[in-house]
Amino acid sequence: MSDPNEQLPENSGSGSSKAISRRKFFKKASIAGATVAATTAMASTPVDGDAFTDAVQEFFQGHYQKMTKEEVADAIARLERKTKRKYGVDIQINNEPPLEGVLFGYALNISKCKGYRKCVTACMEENNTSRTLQIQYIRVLEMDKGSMNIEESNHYYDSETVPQEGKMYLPIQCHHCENPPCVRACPTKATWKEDDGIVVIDYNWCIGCHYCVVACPYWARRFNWEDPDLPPEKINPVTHYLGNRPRERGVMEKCTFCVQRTRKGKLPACLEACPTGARVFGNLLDPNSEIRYILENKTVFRLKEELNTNPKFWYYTD
Amino acid sequence: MKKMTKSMIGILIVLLGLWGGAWMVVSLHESPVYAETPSVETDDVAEDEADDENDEQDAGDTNEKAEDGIKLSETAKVTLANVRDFWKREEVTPREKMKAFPPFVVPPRKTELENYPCLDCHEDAEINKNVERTLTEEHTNIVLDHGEQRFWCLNCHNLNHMNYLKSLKDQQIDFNQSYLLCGQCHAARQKDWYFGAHGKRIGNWNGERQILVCTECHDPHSPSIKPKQPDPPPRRHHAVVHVSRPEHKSTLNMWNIHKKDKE
Repeated sequence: MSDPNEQLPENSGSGSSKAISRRKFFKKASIAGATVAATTAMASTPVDGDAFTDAVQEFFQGHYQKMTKEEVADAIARLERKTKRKYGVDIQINNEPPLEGVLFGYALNISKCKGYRKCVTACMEENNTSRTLQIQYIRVLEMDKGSMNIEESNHYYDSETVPQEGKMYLPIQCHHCENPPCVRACPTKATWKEDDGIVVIDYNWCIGCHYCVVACPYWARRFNWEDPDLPPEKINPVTHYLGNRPRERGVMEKCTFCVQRTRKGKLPACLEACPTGARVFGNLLDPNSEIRYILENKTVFRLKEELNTNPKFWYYTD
Repeated sequence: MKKMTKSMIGILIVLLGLWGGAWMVVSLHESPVYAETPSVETDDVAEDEADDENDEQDAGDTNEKAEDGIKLSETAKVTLANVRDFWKREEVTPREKMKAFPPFVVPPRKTELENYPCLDCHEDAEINKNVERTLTEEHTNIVLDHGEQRFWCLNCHNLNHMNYLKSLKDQQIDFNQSYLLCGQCHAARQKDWYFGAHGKRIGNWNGERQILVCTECHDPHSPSIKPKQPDPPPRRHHAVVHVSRPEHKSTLNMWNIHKKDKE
């Protein structure tokens, strides 16, 4: 409704009334420069510090794969202090490297899975996932028997008992592909595949852009839409930097094959929780392992084989 | 230009027709595979007639006849030789292959059993009759739902030594190794369990292999897995549309639903 010919007010654009004097400009610029210099100085000194120093240093933290051992140790110490401040819980963030000669593989017997969701609950408790959002890395799909139509499956089933008549259950989680589309999609390289085959995320590097969500064909990625308000008594104190350490709002997370457990030789939490023993985990490079026996002797299949993601999660039947 | 186009089209049609015709001729000329092998009936008829006339002269055939009393044609002999050659016993027998499983240990079961050791009561109890009957005085909580009336208590439990189970050959099987008993009937399942495709491993994925015995999951008197209540479903976030229509089985199917609405 405004008249296009009306003259614009004087203050818009580069009006002369907003001109700043050289003295004022240099004064402001030097103050800004001094602040930047101070913060970078604080960032580079590894000091057992308070919340502000930690926050600044965390801001200037590098990529996990490019940091030196000392820098990673400092980052871990910062995160432990942060968790202590936030939740009042002492946690231990480990940084075990991948084991030599190990490539993890997982197999799941769909004849055995009855849909109890014990794996889902155990995973949540082990991995310090957001309780406000109830993030669940594992999603159990309920399908009609005789079909493999994942798109028409139901993962919100809430029946009195399971298994229901005529239904089959297929749990799906991160398949830790050998050719992961999420890794290729990530614009910041916050997610990568480790030498033992686990696809990990550096939560301090992730910007939460969701490119990986779009790329993943198995719906494995979860996002922290809100601050994961973990109940302090439920926090699992044994964590890994790339695994289940407490995350914050705005980062992606997913199944890590329980990197904090498996790199110490223990079994993933989902496997330990499964009441029917449907899950099998092991080293694909060991010819005598159980997973190799299954791959060589049972009827195995993988999901969405045609996408060439080469997942390391097989399903098999009795 | 137009006149030339018409003639070019005509030439194309002629060429196509020639090519199509040549293709049809070639394809019809292919001989089917079965026409090469001689049919079995003619051989049999020929041999039968020859046999009827010259019984003693057919010395070459007497071996085959003596073996199984069946007249074999040439083709059948070849096939039989192939089959026997194919199924010739391998260097490693299936039994040896079965024993090549990775070693394991099992957590003991005797400590978990309520009524073990059985001899605590059965040493001084009345002599048991090896007669099938329903127990009325003790062990009344056990209802055998295994095998559909094909066996009863003393097919597995050892009357001679009640602290053990027994095999089909009346050998003693320890309660801590009850898988040996189950494997007598469920051999394929036992092989899977030995190699890790069935059952549950506990503790660690490398190092000492600890696996659970059959009865940790399967009640031996009623082994089938009963339906149980599942853990709660995932929470539907506010970003997902909440609908109660049955077609909305999953959020993954949303766009399909809306497509249906338009039809």
